[in-house]
Order: sequence, then structure tokens, then C-alpha cells
Amino acid sequence: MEDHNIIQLYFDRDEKAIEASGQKYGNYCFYIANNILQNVQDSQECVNDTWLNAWNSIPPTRPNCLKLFFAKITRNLSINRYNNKKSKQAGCYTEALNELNGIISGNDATQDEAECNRLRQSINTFLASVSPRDCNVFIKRYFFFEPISVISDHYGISANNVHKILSRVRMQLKQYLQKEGYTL
Amino acid sequence: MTSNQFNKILNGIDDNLILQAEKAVITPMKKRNKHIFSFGLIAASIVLVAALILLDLVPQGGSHSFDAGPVASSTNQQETPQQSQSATQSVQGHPSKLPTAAPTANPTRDLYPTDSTQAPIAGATQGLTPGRPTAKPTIWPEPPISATQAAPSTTMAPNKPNDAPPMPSYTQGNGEGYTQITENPFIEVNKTPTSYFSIDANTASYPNLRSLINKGYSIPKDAVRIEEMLNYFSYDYQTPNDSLLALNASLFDTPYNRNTKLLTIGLATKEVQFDSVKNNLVFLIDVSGSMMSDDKLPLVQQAFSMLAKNLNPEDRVSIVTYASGDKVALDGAYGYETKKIIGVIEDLFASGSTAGSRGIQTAYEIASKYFIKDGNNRVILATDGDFNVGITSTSELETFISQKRQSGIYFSVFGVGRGNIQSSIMETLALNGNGTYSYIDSVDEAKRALVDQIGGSMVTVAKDVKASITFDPKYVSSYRLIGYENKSLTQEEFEDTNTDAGELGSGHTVTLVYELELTDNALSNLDYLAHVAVRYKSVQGEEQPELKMGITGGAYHENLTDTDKFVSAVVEFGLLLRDSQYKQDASFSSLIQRIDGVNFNDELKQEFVALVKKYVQNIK
Repeated sequence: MEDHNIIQLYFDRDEKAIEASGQKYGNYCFYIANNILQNVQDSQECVNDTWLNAWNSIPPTRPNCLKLFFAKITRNLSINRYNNKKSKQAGCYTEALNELNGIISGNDATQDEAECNRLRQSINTFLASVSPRDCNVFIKRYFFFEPISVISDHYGISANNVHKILSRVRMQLKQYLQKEGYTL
Repeated sequence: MTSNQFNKILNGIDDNLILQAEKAVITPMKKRNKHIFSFGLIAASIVLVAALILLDLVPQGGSHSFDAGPVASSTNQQETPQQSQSATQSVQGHPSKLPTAAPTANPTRDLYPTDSTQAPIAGATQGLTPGRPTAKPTIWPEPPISATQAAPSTTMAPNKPNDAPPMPSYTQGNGEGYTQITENPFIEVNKTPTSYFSIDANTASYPNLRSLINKGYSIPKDAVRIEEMLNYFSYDYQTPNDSLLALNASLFDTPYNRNTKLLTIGLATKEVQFDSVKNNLVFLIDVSGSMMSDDKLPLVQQAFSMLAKNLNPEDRVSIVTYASGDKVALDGAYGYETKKIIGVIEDLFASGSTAGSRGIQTAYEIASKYFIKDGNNRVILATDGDFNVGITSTSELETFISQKRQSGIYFSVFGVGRGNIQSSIMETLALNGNGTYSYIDSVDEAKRALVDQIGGSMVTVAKDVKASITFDPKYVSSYRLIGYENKSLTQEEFEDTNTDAGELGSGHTVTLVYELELTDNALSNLDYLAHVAVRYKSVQGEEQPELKMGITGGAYHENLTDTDKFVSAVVEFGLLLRDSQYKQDASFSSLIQRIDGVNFNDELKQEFVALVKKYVQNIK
């Protein structure tokens, strides 16, 4: 089923929307959730919650890209679930968090929404300025939380090279954000 | 800010950047090229050293003497193992050539458990749900324009101006085979009021034609199967509520013949989710040397990799290859072992002949080994048309596949590439195996067949589907079934419950088109035009209640719906490509005019419009 048809089902409040979403994007969302949670049951629950969340958001929201709309919901829900878990499973997400610790202070500073939006804009501007490969590797690692081995396989480069690319992009990002006046 | 907060901010990364990251696909071909390049460098080094030795330019010990022996020996000692290793990894990279089984080639890279006792994981490991590529891969070589091909084609497209340059014909000098089609004639209703035929949802003809047109070739008349062109597209037919099938009908003026009407009968099957059925799939892949080109094995690899990412965790997948011999490259992996499956698929490499293989027997043995009761047990052959799979006689192959069908193992065929496709044999084999024959001409088509419409391709919902249409002589003087030329049945065959007829998959829509000559003034008092009866069995083989529908005058409408416009355009295009004796006033301009600008809300239908225009450009 085409995305616009699925969106229409949500607008029509037709429960087939959930079924169609699961059929088309279930595995995709599960992949994202499982990269973060490393737990089949938790991941499956996050995917199910994604459809519920979408059901509550559409309408009025009409996603431009349904796939990424779901991806972002799943990612958020999975990160929340991860944070609420007492025993945290080591995996790609924890590795990625550790890597990001190198560019941020770690202080639990409360950020207002406007400030967060400005930061998002800056990150997007930065990513658009680096080479497509570096940008893609960064997104695969820190948006999809893909394992280094999968990224290295994908690009036919060594894991060490992937680490180097990520390290370089993180440093560039840190410098860029500092230059833009952010205190991370 | 904590890393968690920062991570949430990353949720706002621009959609375009994320999509770009997703679509950054490195194809197996590129990886293979890297290996080939390495091998090439080593081979070139060896040749260079050998040349130096022959030219007596290599020092032979001491400052002024030359001794080719030790140097050559030393070179061989250093290069041969490397060359051998490289050759194994690249040129001879087929799993059958590897000393260790391919599935364990990268054990440390397999992130998901390979132990069946561990919890299944449904998600894909390496890639995400594949998106539509931003640009079509340029896998087609330029059409060869040789002296023989440049000669005027016997299968020249219709309406071709006499002074236009001839299009290269693909029927000359290659191994492609199409069974001759003799078009159904008009039949007088007074003499034969009922038409019987077997229904299936094969669609291979359309992608095959698309491939030929996109490459600029002329179209062999017998490659044009109008019913397969029609059934390639989906239509908004009413879907069944309680039964497995539902019928729809429409009657309208034939756009290309003012004296006839077109009656379309749409059949829609119940949609069964692919993940509601347990699958035991055996990929039987031709890895002979002829499969080397980009539109063959690399395309099969991409297609099956997509399928692997959409398997259910409990599904079983095996891979059998055939070339000089047959090889079980993957033995009963679980659906959640996505990375393992894709790893084996990517390691396949085309080389050698197909003599001596017993691939099909091995494939069925593996399918039996992992047989799932009430599941979808299926051998899926992917080939460019080389059927040296162990049984060389086509009739024996048909018998073998038919026997296996009785045991619940079905057979589907995916054809790829150009030059050797045997459409009629592939279709017959699929029919005997209760499966479908599909032609894969691009990554997009692979995605359509194996991801978007996986239920239709893999899950059979109705078996032995047969139809009879009985026309009322009071209103219809003659009729002509468009397409289905090789699927007609006799009344006895229709009534015999043991007759093997076509199969329909989940969510399929099938369109039957009749051209009718109505009696005088029929439209003014049109009452009961025809009676449709469809007989079929459930996938378990139980005879289902006959599906009946009466077509009344209410089916007629003067203004064509968008579906009517599209269906009639496909028919008209098919008739023009075939240079049919029934094309009457058909013309490319009128059919383009009819469908151009209609918002079909369907990429494939829009692509059809563009394809017709491209064909018109080709023949200008």
C-alpha cells in the first residue's frame, strides 16, 4: 500500500492503518528499536507503541515522509524506554552514547525548546556541509545506531576506518558548534 | 547537556539527509569489482614478471649474471598462494569453490544469533527496509547494433514509417524463445455461447517488454501477452468479504473499434499477510558463466537480499546453486538470520557451465528436509533461461515438478537478463508447480515482486482457478477473449475437478477482457448480457463454492472510468505491438491521448504512460 493511502486510513480513523503500517514498516521500526534496546520484546512493544503514537498524531499531522515519521517516533520511544530501564543492555546505543560523550559536557542542562530547535538547525547545516559519505556514516551511527561492523560492511571499509570517520566528524561538529556559540 | 539529550536532538536531523544515508547502497557488484581489481593487479604482476623472465631481463644472481630459475621459483612461491587465494575470493568466489562453507565466512560479523534455540529477531541486520532508489541503476548495456541486427526486423513494430531506421531486433541470433501466439478469433454466440479458460496471475510479459523498449529493441510479436500486461497492474476492484475471490464487471465502447464493446471482468483475491504463513523457501540459483552480467546474477542477489530482509523470524531459507555442479550454499537458515542469508547471497559468483548439475533434485530434497506442514513450501528458481538443472528434458521436468506439487512443494520462477530467456518453458514450469513466473528487469521490479507484492508472489490463496463465461445470444452476436490464448479449456476440462489450472496469490487482481459484437439495438433493451462462473480450490485443495455473477445492462457506461481508460489502453498497446489483425483503428496517439494526464495515483501506471511514449519515440 502506498504511503498516502496509509495516511488517508489514519485520517479516516480506519484501524486498518495500524495493520498497514505494521506490514510496511514493522521490520524497519523494529530494526531501529532493537539497535537501541537490544531486546526483542521491548523492541516489539516500542514498535506497537509507534502505531498508537501515530494514531494520536495523525490527524492533524500529515507526515511528508511516513517512513521517517515512524522512524523518529520509534527512536524517541526506544530512547525513553532505554532510559527508564533499570538494567540497561549494552549495545550499539550505549556505545554511541559513550562516543558522543566526547563532544558534550555531560551536565544535565535544561534546554528550552527554541534553543533545541536552533541546535537542530545548526547540526543540519553542519551535516550538509561535510562529505556525503561522512554525513551518511554519522547518521547511520547516531540516528539509526547501526553497529560499526554493519557500517563497515556496507561501505566495504574496515571498522577502524569507520571509527576514524566518526571521530573526525564528531570533532568537526564540536568545533562547529563551539564556533556557533553553543555550550554543550 | 547529556548525551541522551543530545541524542534526542539528533531526532531532528533533516529528513533528506536521513533518506540519503539510507539509500547509500554499496552493491555487491561494486564489492566484487574491488576483488576483481585486486586479482587483476596480481595477475598483471605475474604476467610482467613472466615477461621479464622470458626477455631474460631478471638478474640471475651475482652482479652481472642472470638466473631466471630461482627468481621465477621465488616469484611463484610468493605469488601463487596469493593468486590462488585471490582467485578463490573473487573470480572463483562461488561458495562451491570455497574450502569452508560460505555462511560461516564472516562469523564475527553476524550480529544476530545463528542458534535456532535463541530468540528470533525479526529486524533486518544490514539494511533497512529498502527504499526506492533515487535513480535507476544503469545495469543495461547499450543495445548492440551489429550488421545482422541492423537488418530490417521480421518483428518490426507496427505503424513504423518506411524511411525510419530499423530498430535492433532481439529475436535474431540469440537464444530467447517465445511460443507462437495465435490470437483468439471472434466466436459466434449462437454456435458456442460459452468460453472456458484457466486463470493465473503471471505478469512476466510486461517487464520483459519494458526491458526491450527501454533498450530500444523491436518487440517480438509473441513476447506480447496481453493478459500478462493487464495483470501486471493493480486495479481498485471490490475485494472479497467472505470468500477467497470477488468479481467485478464493466462494459464500455471499444475506443479503437466503433462496432464493438469491451467487457472487462475483474477478479480480486483475498489479501493474506505474508507473515501469517510460515515459509520454507529454497532459492535455486543459476550461477553459470552466462549469469555474470549485471542484469543477471547481481540483480538476483539484490532481489533475494530484499526478500531476505522481509522474512518472518520462523521462516526457513536454503540456497542451492547450480553451475558445473550443484551446491547447498545455505542449509535451512532461519528468517531472523538476515545477515547470514545475505552474506551467502552476496558471496555467489557466476562461473562455469551447467553440465552435470542435479540442482533441482537437491533443491527439492532440501525443501523436503525443512517441510512445514500447512506452510508455504516453495522452490524458487532464478535463471537467465538455462535449464540444465539436473533434468534436461522439459517434459520430464514438468512431470517432476508436478509430482512434487502433489507433495505440497510449489515452484516459482524468476527470469532475468536477455539473450536466453525461455518464457514459454518458464511459464509452463511455474504452472506445473502451482507458482508464478515473473521477469525481473530492474531493482525496482525486484522490489515490487519480492517486497511490495510478496504475498501475491509467494502466498497462494486459490488453486486451479478456472472460469466460464456464457453469453446471451439475444444481446451478443460474437465475442473474442483478448489474451489467454494458451489457457483455453474444454467444457470437460472445466468440469473435471482434477484439471490443473492456474493459481492466484494473495491480493492479486486479474483482468479478463472480451471484445463483444452486440446484436442490433441490444443496448436499448440490454438485460442479461452474460453469466460468469469461476471454480477454484483452497490452498489445501478443497473445492470451493462456485463463484457466480450475472452481468446485466447496468455494467454499461458511456463515459469511461479511469480504470476503463487504463485497461483499454493496455489492450490497445498490446494489439499495436502484436500488429494484431483485430487492432482496427488502434493508434498510439489515441491511446496516449486517452490516458495522458489522468491521475492514476499509481507509479506503475504512470510509468506505463511514459513507456508507451518512449516506444513511440523509438519507432519514429
